[in-house]
Amino acid sequence: MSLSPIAYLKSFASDRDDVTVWSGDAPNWRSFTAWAIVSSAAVVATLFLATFALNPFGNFPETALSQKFADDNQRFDYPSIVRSGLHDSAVFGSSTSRLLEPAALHEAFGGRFANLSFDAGTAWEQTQIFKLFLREEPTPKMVVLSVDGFIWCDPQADKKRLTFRLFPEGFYDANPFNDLGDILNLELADTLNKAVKVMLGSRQPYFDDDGFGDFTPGEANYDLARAQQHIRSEAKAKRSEPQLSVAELSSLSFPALNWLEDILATIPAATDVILARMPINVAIQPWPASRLGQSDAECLARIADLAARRGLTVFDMAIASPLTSNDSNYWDSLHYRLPVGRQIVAALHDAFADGSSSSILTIRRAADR
Amino acid sequence: MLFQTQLFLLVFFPVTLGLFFLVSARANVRIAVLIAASLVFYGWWDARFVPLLIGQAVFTWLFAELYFRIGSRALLWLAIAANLAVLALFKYADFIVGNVEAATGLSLPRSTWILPIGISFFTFELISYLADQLRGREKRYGFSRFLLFVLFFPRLIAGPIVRHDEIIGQFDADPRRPGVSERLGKGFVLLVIGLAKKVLIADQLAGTADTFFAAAAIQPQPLFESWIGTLAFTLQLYFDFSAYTDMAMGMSLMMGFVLPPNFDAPYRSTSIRAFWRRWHMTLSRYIRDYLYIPLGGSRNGVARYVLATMASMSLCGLWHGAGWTFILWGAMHGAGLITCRVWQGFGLPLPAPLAWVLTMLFVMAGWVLFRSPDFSTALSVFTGLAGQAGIGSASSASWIMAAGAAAALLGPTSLRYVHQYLLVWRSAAIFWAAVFVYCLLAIGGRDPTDFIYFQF
Repeated sequence: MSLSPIAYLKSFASDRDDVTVWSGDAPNWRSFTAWAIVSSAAVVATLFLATFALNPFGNFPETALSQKFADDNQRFDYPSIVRSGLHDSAVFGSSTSRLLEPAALHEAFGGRFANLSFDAGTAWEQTQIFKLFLREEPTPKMVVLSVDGFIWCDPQADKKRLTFRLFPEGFYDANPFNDLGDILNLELADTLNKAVKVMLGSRQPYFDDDGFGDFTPGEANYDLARAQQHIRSEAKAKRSEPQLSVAELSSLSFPALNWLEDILATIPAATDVILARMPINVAIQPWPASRLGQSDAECLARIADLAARRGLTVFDMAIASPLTSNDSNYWDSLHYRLPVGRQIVAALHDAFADGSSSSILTIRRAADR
Repeated sequence: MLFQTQLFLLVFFPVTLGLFFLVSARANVRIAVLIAASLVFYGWWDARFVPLLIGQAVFTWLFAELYFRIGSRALLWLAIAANLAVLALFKYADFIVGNVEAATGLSLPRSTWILPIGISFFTFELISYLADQLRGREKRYGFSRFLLFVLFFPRLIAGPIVRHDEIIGQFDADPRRPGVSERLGKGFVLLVIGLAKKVLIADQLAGTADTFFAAAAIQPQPLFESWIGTLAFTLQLYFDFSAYTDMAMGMSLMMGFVLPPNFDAPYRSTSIRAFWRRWHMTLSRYIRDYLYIPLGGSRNGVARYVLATMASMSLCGLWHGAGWTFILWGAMHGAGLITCRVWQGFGLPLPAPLAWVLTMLFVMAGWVLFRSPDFSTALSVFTGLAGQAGIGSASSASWIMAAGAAAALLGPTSLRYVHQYLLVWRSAAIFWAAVFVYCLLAIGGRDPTDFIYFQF
């Protein structure tokens, strides 16, 4: 068979039905079809087999090659941590609560903690992992809910449920078979590659069996100037704006608070609950005189109202404080340094023990509105 | 169940195809397999609509059978009216009530019924069967074959709109007959092309188009954003709908059935008449045969021609959606077809590039009406297209738009590609397998985006 590539491409725009690119031997359709279908099936089967063998998400039976938590998308990995049965307490939140160490939490509160905070976790995603946790552990000892304003007070939270990171919904229900529907995706090749590296010892798992992992570049590599550069570039403008009226404030909608209400309603009475806002750098905290600041305060007050229904207060660390005003505590405006995590656990412990504010934590009550 | 899901592509279709070939020696069993698969496929969305679908099919077949035995044409008219009534009830009741309310100021109850998916397509096919009996093209089919004609899952939801006599006869052909490898190979490639068009082009353009129309609903957008947003929807609609058709035709071909073509590079058209010969060809054919010609066509004087064209195209618009924007879109194309015919009657052909530009501008203006939820949004879009809201920037343009435009304008249609240009090489087979697997991975973990024509 011979073929002129130029004639082939030129004829593309033709609407003629009699154009043919073939000459010589008749095409071997049997071979073509067999190769197309068999190679498709072979690649798909190989991907599934590799996933079963390497078990990178920990949701399949263990094999000799199993390598858990090689990937950095916690949305795929945390369900298996929840199902491990090793944890009766957990932290839920986004990257702002990722550096709360389960060991420090255990020391402070006594539970067997897992940190189930997702990087950039949306309120909807956090709600899903929380529901799964409660299904697997119906009577938790303690839950720590990080209710950052920029996540839980987002007026678009019900529309922006997911991020660019994939979320395997099938991993979060009681049916193990539909997990298969969330295996094949464009992240899988990278995940398997990382799992092989973990197996060969050239890469460490992204986090431990309790979900904790230090995602920072390491204390030895801290660079204050670079951190301040990040913080400055992310800082919110401090401009006063025309204020929202009382009517406008009361008409604001925070869809994620409906999920928070459900969460609080389903937690058993015997479970200790901490509702906290993590200490983001003061540079990106909403300016009180701005509309965003007003909106944030309104949302916080509504969270405090929800908390009060089960006798709780909100431990607010997203305030101007010696911690949040000191750039040397941060890698960037959202992410504090690893030792700060222990400072936060200590502040939570003190507030939980005696219900009083401290220099880095303000107690928010429903009556504060 | 959606075509572009892993469940469909890795489980439903391979299992159905496998079973179909496993029992291929017996036609009745093959047909039973396809009927059962089609019911699962349709019921996956909402099992409540399965009785409606089967009910319409059984009702239509029974009335046709009664007609064959009794000979009363009133039975056929009654069955047509009943099918139209079902369509009107589910699709147009709220539209009619809304218009009555607007005209009278009354407040009337709404049905709040959900539109059964694909109802416009299968109802049209049932009516065409009944109408053909009325026109003397009498065809009597066994119940199972007729049921499969209505239910056949590859084209159940969004066509191509198939005539009974071009598909039912094929159901008895043994899929293992000579040429089975060629049909399987070509069908697989068509399926993959459709999947790639949907996942890699149409769904990518949807973001640009949706963002633009949402913004334009609030206020007119700048010139560049308006043209890019309109162009994005123009390309999205073509790739989305033709993707569905390609997948439907590909899967059918793998089972040994040939469906009628639905698209023939419509954006290469240099006149509106040519556009409608190339766009949604099975609907154009339907409108022509069951509306335009019965209304008088072009052989009964100018007035009758204008009336037939305007009525047919306005109803074509209404078929797409229960809204005045759709009706105006159809009427606009009716006026375009009449103008085109008149101009062509003068014997003064425009230079092809100018004719193409005018045709595309007209088509895109129509898509603005088609996509806009209301006239105020459409007006806002037209205001932006006219540059009345500033110049803006071309930052929302993407290479996918450029690639899509090039493929729509320069490339062969999918059907022409597989029949004339597909290189039957081992390397080409592996290439198409790779595209298939890539698309499978690309749809993984994401909520699938419905095909646009599912809403009709």
